[in-house]
Amino acid sequence: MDRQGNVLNKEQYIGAPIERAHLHRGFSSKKTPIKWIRFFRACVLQREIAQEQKSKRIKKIWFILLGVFLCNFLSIPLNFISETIGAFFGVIGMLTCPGLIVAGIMTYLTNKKFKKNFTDGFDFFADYFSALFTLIEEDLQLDSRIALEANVKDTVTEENLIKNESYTSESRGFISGVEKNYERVISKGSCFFNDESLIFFQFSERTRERIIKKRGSSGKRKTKHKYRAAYPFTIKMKIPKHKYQLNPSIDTTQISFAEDDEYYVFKVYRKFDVKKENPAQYNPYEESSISSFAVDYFSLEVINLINTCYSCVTPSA
Amino acid sequence: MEENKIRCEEFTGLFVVRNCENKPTIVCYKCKKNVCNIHAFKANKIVSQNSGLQVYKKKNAILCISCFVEFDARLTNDIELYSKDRSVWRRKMINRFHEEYPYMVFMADDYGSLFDSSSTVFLHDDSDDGSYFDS
Repeated sequence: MDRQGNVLNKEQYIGAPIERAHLHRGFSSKKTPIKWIRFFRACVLQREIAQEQKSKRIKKIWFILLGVFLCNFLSIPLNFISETIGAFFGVIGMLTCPGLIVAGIMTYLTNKKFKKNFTDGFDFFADYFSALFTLIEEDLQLDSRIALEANVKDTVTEENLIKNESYTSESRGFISGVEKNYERVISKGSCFFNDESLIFFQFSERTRERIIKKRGSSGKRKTKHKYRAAYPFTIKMKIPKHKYQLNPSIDTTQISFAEDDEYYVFKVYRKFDVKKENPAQYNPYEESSISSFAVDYFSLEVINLINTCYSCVTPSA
Repeated sequence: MEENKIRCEEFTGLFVVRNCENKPTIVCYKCKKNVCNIHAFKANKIVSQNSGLQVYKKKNAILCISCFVEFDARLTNDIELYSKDRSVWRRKMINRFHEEYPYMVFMADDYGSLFDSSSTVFLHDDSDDGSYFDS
């Protein structure tokens, strides 16, 4: 009760001794759900703090440059008061052009440093997995840890390219096209439930990029990059035979099934696809559509995959 | 003696539902259930326009999680997960899951010692051996 309504805020994370959120490298660890949730929250907050600091620094750089530029105009009236002061301001004003170059370079370096340390798109990951871990938290054994490995880098990179082929279209003005398919495992992990079941999960991003060269209605040539992304989530569940018995009928069109001496093993799969599930949210010019799914929807659909596995067994009487 | 031990009257778990094992510390002002500290919530923290709630707010009443969730009008999106309110979020989501999905649930107590978590020993390596379904 005492902690009711308490939330983590930015102030708690300024200088706090927590894990550094170098998310571009991904991470791999075993933690209790609450520690994962704290870690995700901390990563998001650290990024927000760094983003604010970055914006302040860039503003400061351009504000100084504006001051240098204004010295040009100030030097004229100041010349009437004192030639030395006027000349001083005039010299500063002359630094506007080199200052512009310096400010541009400094802005570029500041943005580059931020991008190196904090990747874009982590917020969805934090929200989705915080929700998922919160839902299963009470089904884990006390102090049981969830193993999680994550890669939150961009999917559309050479290292994730799995297929590259030419693309043709009958559309008007079409000249040539290339279709590239990328795949990245965003995260995978495992945990024990308190009934001794084991859960393995894997969440991936599959992106198709079409690069189309075409001639517009004005006759001008242009290149378009169109994307379509889908997000398969796979759950493999090992359910102990000494606690459950197999139901006589299993729908194998939805579920893959195998067994060994100790476990019934089920594998279920759910592909999140914005274009199919929520076409109004789909934008073909955006690489990623993962943030278009509501956190509640995502977590309940994933929980339902576990539910589907459990529906194949009954507790031993 | 163990049989007569008073336990918190709330439950935990999503699939294998268990009775809360904790010792009760508070009686819910509304439903009079004995609940532990984890399942007890302050009524004056409830966000709601419900006029019936004012009685509980004025008396600084303590409610069990079930009664708290019944009054709390917050959307799940507005609940911070790194806080005690995580339990409230979970209960709201479980309620939604019950309504929207064909749901597998059973009470662990109905199966005697089969789901007794205190005797559970996990010896299996939880790394994915990948031997099933690999294509």
